[in-house]
Amino acid sequence: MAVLDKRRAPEWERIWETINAMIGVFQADPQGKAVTILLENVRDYIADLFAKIDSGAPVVWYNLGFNPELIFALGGVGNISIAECAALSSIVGDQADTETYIDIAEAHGYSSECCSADKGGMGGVIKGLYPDPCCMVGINTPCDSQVSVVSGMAEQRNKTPLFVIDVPPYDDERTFKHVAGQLRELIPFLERHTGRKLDWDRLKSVCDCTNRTSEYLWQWMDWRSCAPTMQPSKLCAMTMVLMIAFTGSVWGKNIARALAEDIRDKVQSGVKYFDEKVRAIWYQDPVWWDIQLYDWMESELGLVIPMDIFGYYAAEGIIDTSSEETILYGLARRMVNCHPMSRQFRGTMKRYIEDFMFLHEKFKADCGIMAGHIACKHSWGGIGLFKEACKKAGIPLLVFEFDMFDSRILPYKQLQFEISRFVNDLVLPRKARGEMAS
Amino acid sequence: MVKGAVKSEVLDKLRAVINSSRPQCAIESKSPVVGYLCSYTPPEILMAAGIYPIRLRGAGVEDSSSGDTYLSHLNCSFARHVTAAVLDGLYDYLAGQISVNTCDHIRRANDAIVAKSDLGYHGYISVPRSFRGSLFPWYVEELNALKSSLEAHFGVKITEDALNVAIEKTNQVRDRIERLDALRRRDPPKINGADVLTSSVAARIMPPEKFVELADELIAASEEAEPIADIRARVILIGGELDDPRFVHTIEGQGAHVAGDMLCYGTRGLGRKVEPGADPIKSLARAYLYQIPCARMMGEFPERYQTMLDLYRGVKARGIIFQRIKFCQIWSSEVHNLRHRFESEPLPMLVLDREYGLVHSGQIKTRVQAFLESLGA
Repeated sequence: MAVLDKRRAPEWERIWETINAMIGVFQADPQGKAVTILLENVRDYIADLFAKIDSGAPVVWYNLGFNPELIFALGGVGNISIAECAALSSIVGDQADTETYIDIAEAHGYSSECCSADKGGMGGVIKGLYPDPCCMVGINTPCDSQVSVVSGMAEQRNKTPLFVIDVPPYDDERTFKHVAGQLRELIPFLERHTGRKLDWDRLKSVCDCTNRTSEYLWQWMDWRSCAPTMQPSKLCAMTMVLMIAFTGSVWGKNIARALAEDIRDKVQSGVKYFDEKVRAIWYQDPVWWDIQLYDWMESELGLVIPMDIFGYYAAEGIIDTSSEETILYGLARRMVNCHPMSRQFRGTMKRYIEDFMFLHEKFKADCGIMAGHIACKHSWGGIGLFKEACKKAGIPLLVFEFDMFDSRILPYKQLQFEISRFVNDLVLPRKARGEMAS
Repeated sequence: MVKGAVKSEVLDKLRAVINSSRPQCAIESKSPVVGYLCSYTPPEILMAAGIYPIRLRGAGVEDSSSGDTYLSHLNCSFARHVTAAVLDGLYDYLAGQISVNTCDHIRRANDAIVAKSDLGYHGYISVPRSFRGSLFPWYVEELNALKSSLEAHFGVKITEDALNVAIEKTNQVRDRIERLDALRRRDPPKINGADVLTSSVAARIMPPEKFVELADELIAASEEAEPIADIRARVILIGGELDDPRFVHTIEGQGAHVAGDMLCYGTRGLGRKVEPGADPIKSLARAYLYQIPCARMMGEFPERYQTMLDLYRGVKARGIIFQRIKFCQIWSSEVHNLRHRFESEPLPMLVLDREYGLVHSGQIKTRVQAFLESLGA
């Protein structure tokens, strides 16, 4: 299917076609309001991106830990997270395309042990799915795989200027100011290479939009913490998607608002869509390659995920737009301390464990599921301390290895087996005996 | 023994130091001993505090299970071995340790060591991941913070004079490693790559005065030795962590000569000579931050590549051997990047993934033999 009446790479056309088909399906579903609006806004973003490409507008590439507000504030500049095509193919396109990108990256010497989001990104770059960038931004959050993919991305476009943002592993004012200072440096870099002047009034509007998005996300989290949870589990990871591509845009705000209003209406209507038996905090990566797994968990096991690490949006994200300094400080703080994963992965295990305990309590969970994306070396590296903390708190924890974008690592049936055994043989009997932590 | 290896007592002494999980020189030290985990930690600051610095390794750890308990089988075996060594008490003579945000594995090894060991002091440095000049002050601040933290914990004053003395001593160590490196670069070489790595690893463990003394003996013995003959091909060895000369020995046992390296425990990680002066912390920061970049540094591959090309041509190498510990992510795009460069400038390269502490000599022998054959050697 042509995108904006023009033929594109088949992979993009498949994403476009599937999104439009899914919108049609979910529009007809009374429960599907939030998903419909989410998909519509993803479609609008893609349409806008291709319109910019067609008009010859500059495009900036970046990696997973960066947020695009400064790019939006330039006006008329395309923003591409290089993991975008792999992620979209997996979630709303053809999973086989994502796995092809992964294979391409590995065939070009990119290590199999890196994150599949980044392997997919590299495969997409090598395959030529993205328009040439005028410049690139690389950030070392949330993990080493980002360090690696920035290096690979920079080499693939080794004539294109790269700006590196260095985020220290600390959680303090000095760190936020250090990152804010780098955002200050980034502005003339972006201006020079995009040929656009950053408009501070436009940046203020972008940040106002981000702030509204933040407020909607906090409302959404509060509604999702109600037990029973009234919105499908599969929607809880969408904060991450929103932060990477849409934060500061009307698309992001629309998605956050739809998520919040959808669950508010469902809670207020009191109509339950599934019989909730067990609530789990899904810690680590979603099963992007088949998010219908969450439907299966709800219908077959009564297992609900009220919140996961990709959905959790920490309550420190409001940007003070009163001055240039406060804007940059707010953007920096939000990027390193609210961006899912960057918040939990870049420092010590203390934050990682504390956030889990907070979510477990706030969302009245019965247990935790550590969905161990095999490339997440930071979380696997802290698994012993995490298990100890859960044991001490009396929280049952399922830990398994899988890959969030590659279905070949842990097959669907095995995944179902691991989860159902945990719920049926451990959590439900313990819950029945009243042995759960609360 | 590999052809041309210097048969001297001095090498035996150096080998004894690096093969021991509890080196005598450190255990018998009258000064407090502090371990550090990364080449971006300047040991000169520790020396200036009257502390004996030792680079942490997992030498002699055959069972990493206590490290595996806290990390996982999906983590780097170097990080797991170091964690096991600390938790199992092999480093019970340490007064503390200093970690760096080198990579995710080392960060988590540090978490486990902080939480589960009874070491009295834990220092930390956040090292910028780019050479951009505006990030330099951050690193200087970090080194000054480390200095203050050491002063507070150990009740000492680190003076500029003491720092300059430590810089001079460490420069002497660098000088000896450079001289040994020059001997193995000769054609024909006077010393093999395994023995140079033995020396450079020992340089991270021994007191500088003692190392310089032994290195001088080794240099003299090597100068007098017969040149190494019957070399099938000169190669360079690059990549991530490698502190095990047995690995190099296995490569050289097939007829290759490792004529140069760019390894963290080899010549790369010792950094450039430091200029003593009025602001020694700044001098140290300059030398350590702008060392030949580790892959943890983002966007610095072009400099590393150029350095590698210069080395390759300078030592008249015929091939490149890249090695990396399995699961290491910061080095994981290197092969992709190198191959990308080799599309326009082809160079022969052998890629070897390895596990810390295991040499897998059969597999390595076969692959090195095949590589040498492919070079027509």
